[in-house]
Amino acid sequence: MSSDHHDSVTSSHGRWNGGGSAHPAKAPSVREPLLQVEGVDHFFGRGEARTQVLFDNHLEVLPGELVIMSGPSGSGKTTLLTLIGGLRTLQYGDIRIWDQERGAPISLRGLAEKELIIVRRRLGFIFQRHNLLESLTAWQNVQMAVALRPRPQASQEARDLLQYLLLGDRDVFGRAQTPKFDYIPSRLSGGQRQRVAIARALINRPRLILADEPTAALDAHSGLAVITLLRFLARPRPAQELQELLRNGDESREQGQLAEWQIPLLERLAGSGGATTLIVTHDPRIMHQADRIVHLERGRIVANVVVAERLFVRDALRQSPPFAAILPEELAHLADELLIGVHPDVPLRPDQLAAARDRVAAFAPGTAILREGEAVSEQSHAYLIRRGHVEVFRRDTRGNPEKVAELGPGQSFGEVALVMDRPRNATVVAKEYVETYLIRREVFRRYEAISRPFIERMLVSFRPGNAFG
Amino acid sequence: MLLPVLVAWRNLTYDPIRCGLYTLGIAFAVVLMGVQSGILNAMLESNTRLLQSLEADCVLIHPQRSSLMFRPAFPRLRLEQARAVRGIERVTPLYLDYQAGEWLATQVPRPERRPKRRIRVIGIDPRMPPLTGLHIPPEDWQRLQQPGTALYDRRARPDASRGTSTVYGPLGEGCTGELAGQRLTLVGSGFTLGFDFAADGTLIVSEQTFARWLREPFTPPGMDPLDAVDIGLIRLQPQAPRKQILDELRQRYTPIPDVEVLTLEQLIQREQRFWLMNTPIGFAFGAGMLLGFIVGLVICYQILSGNIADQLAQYATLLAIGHTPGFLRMVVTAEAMLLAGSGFLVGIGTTAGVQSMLEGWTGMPFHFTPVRVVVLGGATVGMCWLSARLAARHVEKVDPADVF
Repeated sequence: MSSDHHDSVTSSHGRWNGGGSAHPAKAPSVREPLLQVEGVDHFFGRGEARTQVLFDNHLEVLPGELVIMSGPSGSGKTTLLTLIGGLRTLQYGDIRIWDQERGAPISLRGLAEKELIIVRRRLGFIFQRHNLLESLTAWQNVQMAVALRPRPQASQEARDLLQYLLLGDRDVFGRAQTPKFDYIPSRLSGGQRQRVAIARALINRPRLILADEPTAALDAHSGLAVITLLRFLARPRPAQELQELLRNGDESREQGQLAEWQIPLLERLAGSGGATTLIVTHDPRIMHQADRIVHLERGRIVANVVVAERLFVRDALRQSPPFAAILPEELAHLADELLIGVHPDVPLRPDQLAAARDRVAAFAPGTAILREGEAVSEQSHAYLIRRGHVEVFRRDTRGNPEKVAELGPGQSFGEVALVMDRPRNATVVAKEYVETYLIRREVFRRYEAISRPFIERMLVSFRPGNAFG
Repeated sequence: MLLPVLVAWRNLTYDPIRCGLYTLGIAFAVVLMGVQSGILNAMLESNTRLLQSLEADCVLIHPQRSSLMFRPAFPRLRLEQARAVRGIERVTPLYLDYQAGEWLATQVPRPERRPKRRIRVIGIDPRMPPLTGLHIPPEDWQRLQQPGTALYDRRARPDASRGTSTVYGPLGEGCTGELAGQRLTLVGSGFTLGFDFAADGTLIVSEQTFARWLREPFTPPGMDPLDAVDIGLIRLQPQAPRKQILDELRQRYTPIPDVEVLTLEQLIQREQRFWLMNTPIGFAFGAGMLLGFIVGLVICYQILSGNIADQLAQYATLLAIGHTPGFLRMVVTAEAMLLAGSGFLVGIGTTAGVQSMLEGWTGMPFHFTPVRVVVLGGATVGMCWLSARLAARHVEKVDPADVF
């Protein structure tokens, strides 16, 4: 994941102002989640038949994130999605969605049906079953959504959207085809109906898109068109990413391709991005597009991984001497133990810090994180810098502190003393506000057999080298 | 506002065959209601055809006379008060008999004679007959001045078992018979009034004939047999101030307990109300109309709720994307109104066809008055609206969470 995440979440203005509002649209600030799920329990049935389907679920989604929810069927993903979408009444816990027009989050708890309807209008739903009105044409079905938020340019956008989704007069290979705009659903294939339903969900430019298996009925090309659109609606991507999708041959047959003519449409439709998408899916073709992967089992969120953070931590661990030599699978496992579910570009809020006290720490500028000569104990940690820079000092032969290095995000310190079981060999001071992941000593014991010889060799060959602490 | 109508229109029309069946279903109910009300109207109208052919601006009648069929009458003297009012051209008495006049056709050979049968007899001064609606030629009126003659109704109740003959036997120029036991000759070319609930046929006789044949036998000696007038017909001078004169007449007759002043229209309405309220006709055809209404209600409800049931998931989806239950109710109501419109057009056309057929068979006067069209349209709309209200309760049960 690229480091432009931070920029994209702040630049989500522009075309997404949600037509006709008197107030200028206010995007949530970087730290504020677009969607917040807090302690949500849910029960079906009543009396004897009452069964709990959701157990104390917490989830935060930032603006512009593409979230994929996975889990076995019956794990509660769809129920959670309907609760977020205001289709069911919240029973326990709270769900807050950022309200673009008020510039504040709106809580779904205790909301009357009338207000729930307003919330639903701001969302884009893509249903597993398309549920188009049988008597209306594809075009008219899309207009059913437009009628909820009429805008002068909606007609042009609907045309663009349907054309982009391969329902217009050109197919993915640029060949002429009959436009499907005026077909009623019974004359469309399953995949075409699904794409009409997707157009209906996206035409009002929702800030939050909720999708239940959106690509299940789609062939490779249209599936790729849909997921690409959702990704670009989230945030702009490098042009080269698009070029790669213009592929052909075997890869096109398996994973689909975009047509050259779709690209200007895509760019027009996506605008500057800023839409957040929650997808419930089992489709392996789109799993790897996620910014965040949420996994449910038996009504609980058991994993909530920010892909960028995972890659960041894995990469950082690989650079760290004690872990450089361990197997990739073990490294991946070790990295996942550290994750806190927040993008490394985003500073932590105090409540997030408090919640992950055992995995992450924050230091004010000037704080000495380690002191040279300090003995280590079982409670000592090694540190992996998440944000900010630190300065490393070491006493020279006359005992004066001398700055020997400056470390930044992705670099680590403090491992040597833990692995070699001897006092800290340097003083580390926060140069600015610094956040670090904490690696417990116990972790090092697991890999001692591999990492100790490696570090010894490194200390010999590179002294004073790049291993501090 | 337009969107629900468009959705409703598409819902109904996207399958043309079903759409046709829907329309026929509603039209069927409209025809039921329309024909029943047509027959009822025709019956009431045929019962007042005599009154409608009178030439009068207003009438004098005994206030307790609930129907022309029944007495009391009022004293002839009462006509004089009216004659004194300025602007009145003339005041004519009209004598009616429903009870005493029994006709026996005597020229028919005895074995084939029909039994004596009551016939309505109108007694009138043939020199200035106020019965312009019957289009009787002046020479017939001339001939009526001869005592012992009568004009006859060519459309008396036909005798179903004997072809063209009437239930009275043959009625025609020169036919002779006995009216209340006295010999009478039919003259003239006949008029067309028709039969109704009160009378199977009608004879028109002069005042003298009426007095001698029907009144004298029952009048005490020394009394004027023509003293009891059934209706006093008042004709105003042309350009006379109608309302003012009516007010003056009413004022003059207020202290007199046995006469009241009515316009001819009021009398017609009173007569129609009598038949509607006091006979089973009103109930029978009222029930028929109600039945049509209920049949239509059920048909429309079935169409609408079937339509909802077919599209439950689609409606749930509309709710899920932010449409309101009110929007769905509007779609259902718009469907009902479209059905009402198409059903009404087809139905009223069919009703007109059925009515002209019935008119040909029975001779009853069927008319589409604007009031009847409006009432029938109102009933159709009301029927469909009510079924939309009932069907919309299915919409209330649509749960947007069902779409997942």
